[in-house]
Amino acid sequence: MLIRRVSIVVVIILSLFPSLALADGTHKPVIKEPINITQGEYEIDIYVYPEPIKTGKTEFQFLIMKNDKQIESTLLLEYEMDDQEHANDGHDSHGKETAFVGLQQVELPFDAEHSMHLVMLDIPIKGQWNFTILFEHGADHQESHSSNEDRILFHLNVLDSGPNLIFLAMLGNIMVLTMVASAIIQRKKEVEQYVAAE
Amino acid sequence: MSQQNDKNLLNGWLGKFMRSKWYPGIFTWPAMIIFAIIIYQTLWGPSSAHDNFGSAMTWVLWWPIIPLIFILLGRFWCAICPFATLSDFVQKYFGAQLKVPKFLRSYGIWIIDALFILITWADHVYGIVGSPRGTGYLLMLLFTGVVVIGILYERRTWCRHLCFLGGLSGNYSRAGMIELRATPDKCKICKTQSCYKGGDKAPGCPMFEFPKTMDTSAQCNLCGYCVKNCPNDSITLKTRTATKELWNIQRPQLQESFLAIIIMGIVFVQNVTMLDIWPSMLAALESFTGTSSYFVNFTLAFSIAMSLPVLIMMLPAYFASKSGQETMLKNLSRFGYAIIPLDLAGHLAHNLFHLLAEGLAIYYTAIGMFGVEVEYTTAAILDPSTIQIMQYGLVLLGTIGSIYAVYRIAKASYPAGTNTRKMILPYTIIMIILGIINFVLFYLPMAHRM
Repeated sequence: MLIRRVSIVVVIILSLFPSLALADGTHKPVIKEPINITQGEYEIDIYVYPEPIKTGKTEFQFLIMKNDKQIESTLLLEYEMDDQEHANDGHDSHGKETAFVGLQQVELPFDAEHSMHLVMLDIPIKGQWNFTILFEHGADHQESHSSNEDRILFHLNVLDSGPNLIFLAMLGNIMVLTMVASAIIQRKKEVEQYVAAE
Repeated sequence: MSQQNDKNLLNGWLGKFMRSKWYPGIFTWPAMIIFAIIIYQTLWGPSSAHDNFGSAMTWVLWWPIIPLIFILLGRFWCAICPFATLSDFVQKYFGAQLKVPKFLRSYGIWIIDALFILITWADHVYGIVGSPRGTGYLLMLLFTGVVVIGILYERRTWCRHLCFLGGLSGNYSRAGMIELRATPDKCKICKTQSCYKGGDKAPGCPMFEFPKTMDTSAQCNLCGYCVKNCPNDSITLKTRTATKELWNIQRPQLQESFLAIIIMGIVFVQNVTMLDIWPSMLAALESFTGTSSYFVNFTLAFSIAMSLPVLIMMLPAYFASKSGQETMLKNLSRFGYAIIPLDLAGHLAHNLFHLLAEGLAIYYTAIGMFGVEVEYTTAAILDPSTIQIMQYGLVLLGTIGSIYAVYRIAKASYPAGTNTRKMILPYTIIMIILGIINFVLFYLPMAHRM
């Protein structure tokens, strides 16, 4: 009987686990120091969430200055997995090359509310990723430019985000519910036996 | 019952050991600890299979040696399986002890067949073997299933009716070299039936077997409970010729035969997708289907590979039904078991490659857990040509074993004087064809898993 009561308490504690996992997922950490890139006329502060960057959805916030003046036009962002990183990954068990994500290009819009350029990217694989922000030259571009756009290149290391805690918590919930169901079934059996004995 | 070797292994030190409190716990608890490490490593360890101890232990060590254990020691793995221990544990503290539902008793093997096919398919489409996380998720799904079933139902319902590996081990154990049986004369005087009902020393048979009438090794997991409980010293453990049980199956079941045939298809799939020619085969499928979706193209290839052995085996069964001797399904049920030696051979040969060509990965990933990083270019224990010769040898043995099983099944299944040549010849040709297919698959170069 004591073991059963202790078990029920443990079950209740375990059932809190999924809630904690979900809560952790929504809690935003304190924004840490930005990654700073200075190249020629450009100075860029990059804020990422989560930090450090992990596989899965990542929010990027860019504070982009050119000659100390903030840029507010929509830009382009290119990103891809580093070539060398892919070369080291080898093959999977079925002989397929492990997935290599080629060049992706997305728009980088300016968000007036946050006064920053914002974008959400889904980074599927850990390792080094190469990012390029493209700045198209306007009508006043100088003849000395060799191309139609300026490119600011930077690299970021992406860590593995670990197992899907929500999925594991869900499995935990199923086990917990089964324990509860079993307790109910056993109680019902006891009552039936008692009634039959009477 | 084995006639060849009457020596009861339980008469010596083995019997003492199995009757002692140390068996099977001395194996079970270390297995449980290693399993816990594997779960942790696959979920929270390195995300590359190359560096993950959990992946190495599961797919480079455990999966390759499992068929070897089945041949040598029957279903002994099931006695020490962490899932069985887990099931017993949750049942002890939370068990509702419900009776096994009728649908599970009737259709459990079909569910096992479906699960086996599904897991093999999912491995290729979503990545399980090559992904530590995928492996971890699969283990956790099985973990959940074991806990749920263990809590709700009596004994080891999961192991008997739902475990996909249980279905495989049941079939392979029939070809195994060890059998546990009771002595009918001693059972006649028994008043307690403790082997089934349980006693002071151990619970009753967890696999729902009654040793007195047990005539197959398919479900016996050598847990030793009946050995501990039997008051009449009736239980015997004897060696026998490998595959002997296949020759005279008293109650052939279509679902067991079907599983045996399907396993051949799975061996084909696992081999083909690891060959250098697989990308060009995939490209051909893409031009046929008009899509580059791996999901679609692999599913098509998978369906073909699964169907091929089934359709091939159905041919002689069909002709047998035409000759009026028995129905097609009955004939298939009977002779489907004959493919098990070839299944075992193909399974062993395929995984021998991983064990011997990548076996050192177990050591490297193990020391990697303690921070010792070794950049290794090869994890091979033996060179590829030696492994290939071993694979050919296994396929040859498996083919011979299957052909002989066809012959013995035909002789045992029909009355004396029946012309069994019509039955033996087509199945023999099929076993040779399947053997040649396996040979060719092992002839072609194979990619590594780690």
